[in-house]
Amino acid sequence: MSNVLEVKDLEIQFEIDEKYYSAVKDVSFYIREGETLGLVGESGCGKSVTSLSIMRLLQDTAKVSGAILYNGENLLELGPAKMRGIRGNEISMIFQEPMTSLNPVHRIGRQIGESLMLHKGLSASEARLEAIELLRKVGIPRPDEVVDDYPHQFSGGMRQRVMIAIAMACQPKLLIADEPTTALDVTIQAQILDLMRKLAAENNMAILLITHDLGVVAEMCDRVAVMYAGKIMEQGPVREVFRNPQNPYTIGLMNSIPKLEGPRMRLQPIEGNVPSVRNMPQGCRFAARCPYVMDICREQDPGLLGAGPEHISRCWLQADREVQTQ
Amino acid sequence: MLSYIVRRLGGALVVLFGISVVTFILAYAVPSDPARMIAGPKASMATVLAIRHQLGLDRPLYVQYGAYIWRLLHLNLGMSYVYNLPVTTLIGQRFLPTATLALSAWIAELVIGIPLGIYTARRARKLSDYIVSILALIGISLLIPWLGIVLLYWLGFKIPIFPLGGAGGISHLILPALTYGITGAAAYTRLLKSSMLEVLKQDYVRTARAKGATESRVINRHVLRNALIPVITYGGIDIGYLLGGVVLLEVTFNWNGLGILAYNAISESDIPVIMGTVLLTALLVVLFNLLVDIVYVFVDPRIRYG
Ligand SMILES: Nc1ncnc2c1ncn2[C@@H]1O[C@H](COP(=O)(O)OP(=O)(O)OP(=O)(O)O)[C@@H](O)[C@H]1O
Ligand code: SF4
Ligand SMILES: [Mg+2]
Repeated sequence: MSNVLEVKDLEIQFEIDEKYYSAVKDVSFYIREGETLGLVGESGCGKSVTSLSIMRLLQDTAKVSGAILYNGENLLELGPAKMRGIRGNEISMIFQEPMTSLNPVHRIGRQIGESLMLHKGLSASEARLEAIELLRKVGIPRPDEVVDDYPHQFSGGMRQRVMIAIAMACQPKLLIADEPTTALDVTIQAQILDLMRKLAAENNMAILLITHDLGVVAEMCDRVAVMYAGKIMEQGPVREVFRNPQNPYTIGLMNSIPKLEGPRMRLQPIEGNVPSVRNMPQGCRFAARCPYVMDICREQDPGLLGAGPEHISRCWLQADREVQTQ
Repeated sequence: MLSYIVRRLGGALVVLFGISVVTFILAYAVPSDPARMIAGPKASMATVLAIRHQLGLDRPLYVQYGAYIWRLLHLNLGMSYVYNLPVTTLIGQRFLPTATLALSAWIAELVIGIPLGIYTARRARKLSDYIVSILALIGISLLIPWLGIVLLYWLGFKIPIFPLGGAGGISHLILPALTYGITGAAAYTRLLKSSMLEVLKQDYVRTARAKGATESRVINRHVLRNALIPVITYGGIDIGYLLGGVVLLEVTFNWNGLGILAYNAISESDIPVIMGTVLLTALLVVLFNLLVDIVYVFVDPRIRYG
């Protein structure tokens, strides 16, 4: 199976007080057709800026380098018109804030139909009919009535369904979902995730699912990339990473969530905070919080090292293990 | 909606009543004696007293006020002391010139101010934004009489394209409208710019971009309408004020409108005319406030009046 998306050596820099700082660095991952990749990590580690850079929706003062290949074409080199042709058409995005992501002054149907009019050349009335169909698909009752309603008449969960309908309108190859359920009630969360999974399967759509909830990853994803302070710390198939986590950061994250099965353990949140973009440590970015830290960790970044089939980890411990297995 | 409008109109009546009381009291706080003014400085005291009696000025205040309200309800605003004509006639004569001037001045403000607001919001913190903002600042600080005379001198006298003041066809409207437009547009530019910059930060604008909308579509369809509310509020106040007659503009362009009427009435203590113009202004302000509230409903579907 070929890759829908391939991100290579992505670096994102922001200007703060006339100097540029990297918020994201050395990030590489790929997503195959129809596959769901989870991107996890604590708040502020660069998940959102990574996803926005794929859509080229970061503010123009942000410097983005590396390559973002969509079907082999580097999105970072695309002209604005071509990039617009991809947004909402080939790659769609849904966001964490369902309450504020819809335009308050336009009818739901208009907002869903907009990308169909933009990309598929549908007329307003054709787009409206298609919007009703999409509302039905995302499980909104009485779609032919609510199509003319305004966002404020909808609940948070319903608005996120509308966002999904907008994202699905042009049957994209890739859906980027940035914490799509974080703002919702637990029961609604499960419904929205089910809906996304169902629609992805029907359309052979790949998903980049951003979350800080490992439970969501376990339920939804084929593979997972664990991010910390702007870098990927571990990446691999979900079962493999969960059964056999290699990176101390991944282990720390897993210990900090309650387990449903097995003996009940005390939750151990990782001590300390994510370093700010303005003073990133020189060596391993996790060194200040890592229980296994060694001298070399503070001096040099270990780089990503193989830990199994498709499984990699950024950790000096991995170097020893690699040596042992050789 | 309808019941809301009816309620608001009821409220408007209360406001107008209050204003009639205030203007009535203020008019009588004016120290000069209207009867003396009508009679002239050389008239005998007997003549003055006769006029005073004829006008009812010798009756108790509340009787005068009652009579005033009674006449008001019959759309009778009394007779001007100076012109010896009904106040309604005087206002009626001046209203149309003032309204045409007000409307063209207002349109000039909008035509200059709104595109510049959109432009500066799109170019925020770029060189062209600074240039336009400085121009707007200059515009706002120009005085109407000064700019009016400069325009009259260059475009009326040196290069005689436009008439040198007075009322008439459309050509008479251009310079006064331009004068007011240039000095007033900056308020709209700034208001719209800051409102648009606020809207541009909203999540739904990101959603529109994520759909692949062009930048101009994002601005025109998603940002502008959401950013319009403060501009509508200000625009309503502005046109209400303009319809009351802008004295400086009318004097500069020799435009015989309500502004000059009111100004002269004040300097001549022509109390019925003062009260008439103040009441008219109050009525306009109240009406435009109501109109603005109704326009809101069409701009923002979240606004509902029960
Ligand atoms: N415009 C910007 N200018 C400067 N720094 C920025 C900017 N946008 C983001 N950052 C920084 O980049 C880092 C990554 O932010 P990002 O929003 O991607 O985190 P995240 O992983 O999505 O977090 P969360 O889970 O809270 O959504 C943060 O440290 C943030 O401060
Ligand atoms: S490299 Fe060192 S500090 Fe970093 S995660 Fe591995 S052991 Fe911890
Ligand atoms: Mg985020």
